Amino acid sequence: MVDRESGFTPQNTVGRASSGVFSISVSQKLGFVSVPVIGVLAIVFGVLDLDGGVTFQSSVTEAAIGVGAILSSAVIVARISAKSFLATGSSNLLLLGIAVFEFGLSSTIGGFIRNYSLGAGLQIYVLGAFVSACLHVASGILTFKGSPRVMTRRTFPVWFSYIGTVCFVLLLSILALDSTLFSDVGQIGALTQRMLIGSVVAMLLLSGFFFFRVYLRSRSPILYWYSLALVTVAFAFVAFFTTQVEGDLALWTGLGGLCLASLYFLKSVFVSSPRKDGASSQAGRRLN
Amino acid sequence: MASNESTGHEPVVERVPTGVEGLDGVIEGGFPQGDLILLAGHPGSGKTLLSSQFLYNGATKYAEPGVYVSFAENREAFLRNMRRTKMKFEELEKKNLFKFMDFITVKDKAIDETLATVVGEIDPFKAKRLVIDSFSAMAQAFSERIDARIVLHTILGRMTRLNRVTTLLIAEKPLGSKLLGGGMEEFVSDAVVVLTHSIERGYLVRNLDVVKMRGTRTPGTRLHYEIGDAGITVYPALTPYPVGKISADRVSTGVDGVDRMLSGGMYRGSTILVMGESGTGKTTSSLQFAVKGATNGERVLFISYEESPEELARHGRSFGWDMPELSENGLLKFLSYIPDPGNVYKIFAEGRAEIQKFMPSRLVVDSLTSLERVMDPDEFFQTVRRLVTLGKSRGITCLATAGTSEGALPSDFWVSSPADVILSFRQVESQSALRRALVLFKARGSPLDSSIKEFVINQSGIVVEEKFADLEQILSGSGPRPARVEGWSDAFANRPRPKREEQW
Repeated sequence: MVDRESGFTPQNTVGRASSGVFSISVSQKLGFVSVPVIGVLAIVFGVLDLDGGVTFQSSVTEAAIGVGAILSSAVIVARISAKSFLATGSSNLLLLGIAVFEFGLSSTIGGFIRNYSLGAGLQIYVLGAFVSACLHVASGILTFKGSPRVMTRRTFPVWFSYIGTVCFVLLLSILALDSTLFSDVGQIGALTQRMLIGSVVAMLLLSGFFFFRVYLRSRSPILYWYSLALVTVAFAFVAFFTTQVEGDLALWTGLGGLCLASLYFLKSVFVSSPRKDGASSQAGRRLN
Repeated sequence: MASNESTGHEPVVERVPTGVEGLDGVIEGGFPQGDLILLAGHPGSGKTLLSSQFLYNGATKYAEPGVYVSFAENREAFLRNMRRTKMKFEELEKKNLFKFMDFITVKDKAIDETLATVVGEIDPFKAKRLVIDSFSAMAQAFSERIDARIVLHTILGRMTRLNRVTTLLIAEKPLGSKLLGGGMEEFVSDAVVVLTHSIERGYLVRNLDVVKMRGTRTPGTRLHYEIGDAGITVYPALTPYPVGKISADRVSTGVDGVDRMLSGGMYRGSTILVMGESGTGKTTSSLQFAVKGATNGERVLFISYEESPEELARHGRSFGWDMPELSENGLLKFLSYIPDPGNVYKIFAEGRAEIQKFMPSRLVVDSLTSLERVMDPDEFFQTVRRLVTLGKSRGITCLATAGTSEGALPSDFWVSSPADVILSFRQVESQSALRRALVLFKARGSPLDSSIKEFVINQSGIVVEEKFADLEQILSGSGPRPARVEGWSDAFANRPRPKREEQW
């Protein structure tokens, strides 16, 4: 019997389906449905422009979404990925953690800066997402093909990567605020920005595809929710892609999509439950 | 003749050295002069040989003439048997330092006459040493048991004491019997030395007990001996060494990470016990300890009970350690033995002699488990205690290894308590791979770093990494990770791609 929510079977913690029957839980079905809903809303509000010119700007709400949803979920995913890398040495896990952490950090900082300088904020937001999408593609490919392992001294790469990520986002923020190097990226509707957002969408869909392929192999709900989260972020960026005016409904659709994606990221982390075997050796019991 | 320089007001007892290797050292230099010594033993235990050595050494080394009175074998048989040893009694006879008296056909009535003959020979021959082989055979000539006792009490006792002749009276101790000879000799004698043997794990083990020796501080424990071509060699008891001045200097274990855990290394003269399952790196750590010392200019003695010096050199070469060169420079010496119950005491004696000769600063014993298998538990404990006190008494820093089962604690290796530092190596299963962990269970005189560290064995030897942060229950041998990490790791794990038809 497979515990679909926990992903554990008595024999295999990954939860490989034994019969090949494709069945998913109700929550997984609901999650799956939410993705086209975001897509439809993006088309309705952005492409068809059926929002009736409604705009809404709230820096507090955006900050709450940035810190409360995106950054917090990114930190949680980054933490478990780092711990998993320490345990296994699999490089894909390190890349995965950096990708999510970088996305969460750049989104949050970009969201804050948007209140003072819209262009700079968008530059950080979009460029951060681009880098994160690249890392996700790399992680997805490694996961799909089989990741190389670092056998020893794993703490150093973890610290180096995460501190490096913070430094990179800070550097990006300084450049966005103090130079015109990426000014095109910060202009809503600019070709450069749209190309970058388009690339982000494509790469997120690609990485989601790789993770979903692995999911089909293992039937691990962790991978299901993770790939769904990536696809949801991609659709949220589609909404950003169609944004025409600051504060329009397409933008809020995108932000809503990011909130939903954060929920799916968290779901992928917390879908695993404590071990059920609980076996320990005699010496282990004596020590306890 | 040696004199015992006693301290205090104790009377000085003149000593008659036996010249038997290892025996004089445990009886204050030799038998007390003029005493009647009962030498009892099992058949084949070497009574004749020991008493022959007593006479031969007395004649050759101390110019003391000796008389051998035999009631068991004739002169020709005696000389033939002695030719197998390096003792040339014929030459001593020519020099008038040895006389063999054969009384194998003596009957009841002639005993008095025989003893009178012996007494008559002793004086003109100026004999200082006398052997009667054996009183058991002589006693058979008496029809009444009381007659034997009278002879023993009066004639023999008086004869030896009056003439200051140190006499070895041989008595037979039948196998399985608790009595020594006829059961009366030990009460009349001034000293009783008993030679026995037993079968331990299929090997013949020879034991020597100094049961009684008037005016002498005797060893409180059983001694062991061996019969070789050169005669009997007695191995000293495994008593602890007196602990000398304790050093506060630190020396490197050879593994930087372990030195850090020990706040800069282990104390000079202390003993570290490295425990672990097979294949965890115990021998590698001991070689690293040895090489570190030798490269620092310290003399290192490596006693291996499992591998030959060639094997150890090859082992070291795989890490780039040129141990043959260190040996050629006189800094590293290997002794290699395969211990069994029959040779273990000889091994100790050789090791002890080598320590005295080589004067090492570091000593490695790899491994104690090989000794444990061939020794009596109490003696094994004494061995470990002796090793620990050896280090403390002479400032020799010791490393000993011990093989343990998976997940074993120091209490599972029951003799671990005397060790100053206990370092345990573990194998931890994680993600279908074996990782290695080490933990300090004990570090006398140092703050204990209780973290469980990961270590690897790479081309430069053992390298300690960071502490395990991601696994639990490492000491039990398998380290399950926290459940979420387990699930996350497994989900993104590196798994081989299945065939195409299995993918969808």
